[in-house]
Amino acid sequence: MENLDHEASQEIAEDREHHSLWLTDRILAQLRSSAKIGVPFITLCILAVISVASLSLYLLLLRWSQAQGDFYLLEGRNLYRLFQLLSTLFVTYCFARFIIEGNKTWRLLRYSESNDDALLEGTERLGKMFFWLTFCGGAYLGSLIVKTVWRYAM
Amino acid sequence: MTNTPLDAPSHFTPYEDDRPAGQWMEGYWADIAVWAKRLSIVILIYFVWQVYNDIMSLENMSELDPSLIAMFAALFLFDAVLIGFLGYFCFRFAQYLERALKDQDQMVLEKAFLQLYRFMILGLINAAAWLLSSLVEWVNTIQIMTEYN
Repeated sequence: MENLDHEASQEIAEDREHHSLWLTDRILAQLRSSAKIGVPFITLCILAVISVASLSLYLLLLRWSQAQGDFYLLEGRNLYRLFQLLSTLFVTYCFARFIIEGNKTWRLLRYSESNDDALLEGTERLGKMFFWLTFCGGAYLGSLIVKTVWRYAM
Repeated sequence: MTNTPLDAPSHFTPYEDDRPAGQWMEGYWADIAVWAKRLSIVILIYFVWQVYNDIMSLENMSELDPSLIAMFAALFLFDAVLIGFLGYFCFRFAQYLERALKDQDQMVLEKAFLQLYRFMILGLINAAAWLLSSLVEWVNTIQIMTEYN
């Protein structure tokens, strides 16, 4: 009877094993391939955000410098320009956080073949990378909608 | 040897050196699936916005040369296709990851990471296109400022 119970519990454990998720060679190879693309992707994002943010800020400050007289927040388009400046800075900040997390993620996952800590930390940071990219995208879309509505209202 | 019906669920048999993912890894994957799905929704909204803007821009260009309009239309279409596929692969990655965790299905988990790889390839192409367009804008801005001065 004891043997039967032992066999039954072994079967249950084996069955549970068959239904758990596994870190196979294919998955790990897929992660490393993604990491090989991830590192140049982050490099391009760094260059692109520097270019786009600097251009946006340059044009904003140029328009601001052409305004004459004293600065009153609620006069003319000053409030709108201030909103543009703050939203650009905020979106750039969120994108920079995405770049930092993404850079760490892909560098860790690239060397995860023989390093379990790198694999675990890289996977954790992948979630943070998606979080910051979603937050940045949401902030950017929100600012686009507000600017469009504001422009039509002015 | 027993006969198994064709519609019987296939069980994954791990190799000797395969390791179980464990609770921590599955917890991280669950977190990734949630944010990847939200990101795909953001990309989809941006895709709709971009298509709307492109159509409005093409309407405003009606006075230009038809070959120029065709060139801009092709560029806008290429841009829309890139963004569309980026959102699609992100959504499929999130969907497969959620399903793999819910059903504990190894095959679906492997499909999920394939979608992640495709998402990264599209991301690389999008980032390159974004950098190129911003450099073109810089060149235009410098040209305008030079003429203005």
